[in-house]
Amino acid sequence: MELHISILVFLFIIPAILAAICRDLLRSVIALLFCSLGLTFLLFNLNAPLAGVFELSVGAGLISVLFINAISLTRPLSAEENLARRKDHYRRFIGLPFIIIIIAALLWFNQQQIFGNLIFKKTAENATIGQILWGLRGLDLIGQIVILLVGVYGIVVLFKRGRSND
Amino acid sequence: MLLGFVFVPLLGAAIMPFVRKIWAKGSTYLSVVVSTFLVVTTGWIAYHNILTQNSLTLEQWIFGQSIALKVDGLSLVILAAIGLVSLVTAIYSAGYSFHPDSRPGFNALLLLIVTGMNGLVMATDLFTLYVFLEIVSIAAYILISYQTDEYGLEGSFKYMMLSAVATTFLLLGTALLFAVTGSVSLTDLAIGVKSGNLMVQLGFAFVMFAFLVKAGMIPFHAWLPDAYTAAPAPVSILLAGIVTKVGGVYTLMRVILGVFGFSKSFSAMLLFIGAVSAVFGAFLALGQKDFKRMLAFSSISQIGYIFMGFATGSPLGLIGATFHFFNHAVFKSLLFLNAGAVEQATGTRKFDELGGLASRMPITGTTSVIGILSTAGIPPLAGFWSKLIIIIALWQTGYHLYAMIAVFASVVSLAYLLTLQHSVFFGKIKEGLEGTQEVAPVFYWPAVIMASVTIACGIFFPIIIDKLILPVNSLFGLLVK
Amino acid sequence: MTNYFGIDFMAVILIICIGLYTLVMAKNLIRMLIGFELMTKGVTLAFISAGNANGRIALSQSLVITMIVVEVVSIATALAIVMLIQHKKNSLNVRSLTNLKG
Repeated sequence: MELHISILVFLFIIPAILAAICRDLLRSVIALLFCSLGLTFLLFNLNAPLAGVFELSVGAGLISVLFINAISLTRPLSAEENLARRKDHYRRFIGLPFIIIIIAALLWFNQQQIFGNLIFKKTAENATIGQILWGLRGLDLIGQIVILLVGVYGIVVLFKRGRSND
Repeated sequence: MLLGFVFVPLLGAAIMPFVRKIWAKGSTYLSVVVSTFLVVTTGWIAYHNILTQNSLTLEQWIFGQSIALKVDGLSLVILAAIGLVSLVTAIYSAGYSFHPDSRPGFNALLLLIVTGMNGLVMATDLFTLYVFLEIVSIAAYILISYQTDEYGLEGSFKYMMLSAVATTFLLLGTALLFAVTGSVSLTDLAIGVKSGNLMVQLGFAFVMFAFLVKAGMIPFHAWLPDAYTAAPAPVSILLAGIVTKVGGVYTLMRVILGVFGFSKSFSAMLLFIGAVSAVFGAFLALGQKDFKRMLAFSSISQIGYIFMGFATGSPLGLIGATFHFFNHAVFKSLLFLNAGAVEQATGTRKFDELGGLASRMPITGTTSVIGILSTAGIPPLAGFWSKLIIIIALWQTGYHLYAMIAVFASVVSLAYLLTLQHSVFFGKIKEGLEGTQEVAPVFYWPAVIMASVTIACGIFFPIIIDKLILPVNSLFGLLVK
Repeated sequence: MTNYFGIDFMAVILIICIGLYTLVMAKNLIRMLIGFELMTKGVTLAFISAGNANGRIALSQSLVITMIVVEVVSIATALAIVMLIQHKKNSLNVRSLTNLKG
């Protein structure tokens, strides 16, 4: 239990706040990566190893690569612009940690009222993930095929046009 | 057979790159053929099931239990609307001046968005609903920004950000309901949510919030006019005609009918939101100076009507809402077709630069008169009957004030639509537009098709109501009160 | 097996608040997408801890796998559109998106 809570706080919530606050986008993305890493540990801890592996490889790996790619391809700011915007940025995000601490405190001290009387009907489940994914969720798999096609066509088309007409 | 609704367009999209290599113009023909297939199949199912056996619910499990598809009265009407709108979009896009390289891509995405909508309409569980909703949204972002001009990219980004919030809340609600019931299929959820504890209520609120954002109702409407205005003409026909309605309105109807049922407080809330949208959408439309933007606000107003009819929770209200859904898909895509044709012929959509086009573009002028009269609810066109049914349903269930608001909003609609008609088509021809010619046949034929559907639905409305819309009523047998 | 649902759900609420705050307050388009990504992570945790609580962990894992694929495609598309906006306007500031008004 203690391990779970400390993973939650130190590897999930704090990197998320950092990802929001960091002035440098690259650091934000690295904080996001740590947040993903924390989520992976949480998923392992909750008996969901396969989802954890997916989160590690796709959520932490692929998405960070995509973000870093996008950041490095867009124009970096000049030095004086950077200085001018820094103050403005911190002014907008300085409230976030306090808001989060207040919400956390409210939830923590009222958890008996909110979550205390939840009773879950335990359902016995003896199918494996593979059986469920292929045996019951076939339409979702078709959906994944369609969405990958949408992504491929979309990105090909957008970049072909975006580069050609300037 | 139901699998065809998903697989035929998917296959069409998958072979699009090869078609393009063999035959440069083939991609357009392919999408026209596929959408014609969809219309014909829907008609065939309707004919076969309603006229001969009179049982409408079709359920199929394919590959054991792995793919479950279901079509009932409501889905069948929506499927017909999807087929029709995608058909006219495919025809219209044949003449639209795309970059030659990007035409096959457009047709592929058109077929994929149709796949997504068909899957969404036939889905039997909340998570599959999310997956297909996301397919539709992502294809819509790409299509809105298809010309990669500043306007399109901006509209697309705004849509994306509001959609992101909606998606998150939809998933959060699904997770809560899943925690309580241990399943995500609609039938299991319907049994599980009867306990009505805090988590169920929270999940319900999150899911409803997500669908109201997707439908573009008034407090959450900011993205809708921008996306409609910025999109290229064929895309705005598709978006306004069907995409937002399937994504927001149909999903909400399905989840309420299939899972939660009507409660007093929910009806009151939905009626209020619908009435606010109907009235304020109409007033906001009154102030617009841009053809497409006025139509976008008019869409908000008409979707408000659909929600008002649905929120009565009576069988008559559901019939009215479904019929108005279909009619709105038809006449709104007709009006957007006309907007596209006017823009094509004159190069502008601003009211101050347009005027007197009826003498130069007779076919576009006539079809737009039909579309406008149907939108405003003038008998004997289809829009009149569906509005009348909604108003009667409101009156019968005791919401007299809301019935009067609906009549009032209808009057305001007539006002802005007449403004539109007056400043674009009637009056004296504006300077510089004397040389305007009627657009090419490929642009006005879709409008003629839609106009004849509107007229036919209006004149033969007893048959349509009796055979096509009335079976929706059987859904009320499943309602949990 | 300990029931973590209450604690996990508090974390979910917190992380969705952080994501929403970022989405609303950020000026930079890429930072808005980071906010969206944070909200997605919260939802992933919500699904798995719900599955852990009601015993259907395999079903919830298969849902999460589908969800991660869908979200990757949506983030990739969003980043493509953001990069094109930057290419056209030479700015990533959300205030530069003011063409559509009225």
